[in-house]
Amino acid sequence: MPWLRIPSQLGRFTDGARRLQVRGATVRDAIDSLGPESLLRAHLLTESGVLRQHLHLFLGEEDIRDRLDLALGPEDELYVLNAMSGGSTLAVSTRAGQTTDLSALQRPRRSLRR
Amino acid sequence: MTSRLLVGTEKGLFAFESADRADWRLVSPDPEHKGWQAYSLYAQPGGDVFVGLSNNFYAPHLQRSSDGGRSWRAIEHSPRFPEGSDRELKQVWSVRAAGDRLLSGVAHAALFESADGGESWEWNQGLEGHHTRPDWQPGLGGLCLHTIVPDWNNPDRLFVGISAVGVFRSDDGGRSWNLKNKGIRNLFRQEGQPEFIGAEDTCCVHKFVQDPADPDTLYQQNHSGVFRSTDAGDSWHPIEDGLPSKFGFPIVMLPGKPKTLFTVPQEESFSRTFPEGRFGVYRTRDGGLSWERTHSGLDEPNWGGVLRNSMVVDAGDPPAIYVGTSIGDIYTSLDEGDSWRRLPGRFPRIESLAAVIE
Repeated sequence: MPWLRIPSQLGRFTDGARRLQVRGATVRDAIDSLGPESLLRAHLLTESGVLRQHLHLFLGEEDIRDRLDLALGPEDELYVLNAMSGGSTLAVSTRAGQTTDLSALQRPRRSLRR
Repeated sequence: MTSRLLVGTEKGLFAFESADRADWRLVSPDPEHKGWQAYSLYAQPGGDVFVGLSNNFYAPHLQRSSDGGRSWRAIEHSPRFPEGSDRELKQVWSVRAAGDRLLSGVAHAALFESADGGESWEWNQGLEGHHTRPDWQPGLGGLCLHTIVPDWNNPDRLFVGISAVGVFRSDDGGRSWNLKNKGIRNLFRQEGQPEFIGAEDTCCVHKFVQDPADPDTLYQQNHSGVFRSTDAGDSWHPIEDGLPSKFGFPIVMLPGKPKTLFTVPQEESFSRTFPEGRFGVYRTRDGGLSWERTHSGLDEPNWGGVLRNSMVVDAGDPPAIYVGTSIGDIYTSLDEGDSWRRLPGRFPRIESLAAVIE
């Protein structure tokens, strides 16, 4: 069965568990398997059923926040991350006149393998 | 006897303890619920303490404590709009016992009820279906149901306050509601318009309390002034002589002294700071006919303010008044405001207080 990894701030709602086994054929099914009325599910999805604004959801290396209907395999791991506030995907000028693309800094450092 | 003061802030919940309510000790420098805003605190008489938590990342919800705030348990089935709703829960602003029910007010303005001690909640459709609902607009703090006052004399009568809509009264236990804003000052008065609004004109109530000696008397701090009603909200009349400003947020009354109230004026809506940087907790001993500034022990200059849920009175004898500012100071008075003592420490913006005497 697939797994869901959650940030440390949500561990207080799962008796400290940071990696939860979930069920379902799609990403949405997996989140729903937490329980339709569960507080943990509410922490991830708004009343409209979309991922909360300042969260990211990764499947492998892909940010899939708008694709909750993606199929999920039994070995897949979903990662919930808090958005890092601030920053920009725009390039900024350095003193030397070169530009730096900050968008790369927004991806998690470690590789997330499917 | 141990007294505890729970302090809800922008970044979590702090707790103080005292044996005499004169000297206070911060229980821990680290807050409970670190990173969560604590907009509401409610110590149910003889029961649990509830805190309403929210933040930018996760779902607003309630937690409860059965040991005076020493440990907490998240309420799994907290107030929540149903799946598929076009409404979004932003914060939990109020919790209050009403007979054998618990009531909770949230943003975006709605009232929830619990018949099982707070473990599950139902959305009150009577208020939701009020015919003025499509016209409700938020104040700067959001569209929030921040004040719940169950009538101590009539179990079927309830009052709620919504910013920026006004005071509602129900006479049938919450099944139906009427807007009670007649006599509040017209904040957006245009030439030729009356100075005071009608019952169903909307306004921004900030806080109100009911007289424990006369159930038909209420006192309200509104965006546009301080008012009193002697007919259960059917009409309101200004009581502002002696106040430096009409604008402010909290209002509290001393138990056992129904004509003694306190409010904390701010300069005006734009700046929202103490008038001229002079922190004053204003007191009336005659039901609002006159007000005087109490400030002995309050630091100056002070360019903060006090939010609507950040002034409370405990059930002790004598009663202690606690006030927390938007810049993180906490003060207490055991002599009805004649003198104030500052509690140790400086905290994030203080959004709520609750006093527990064990």
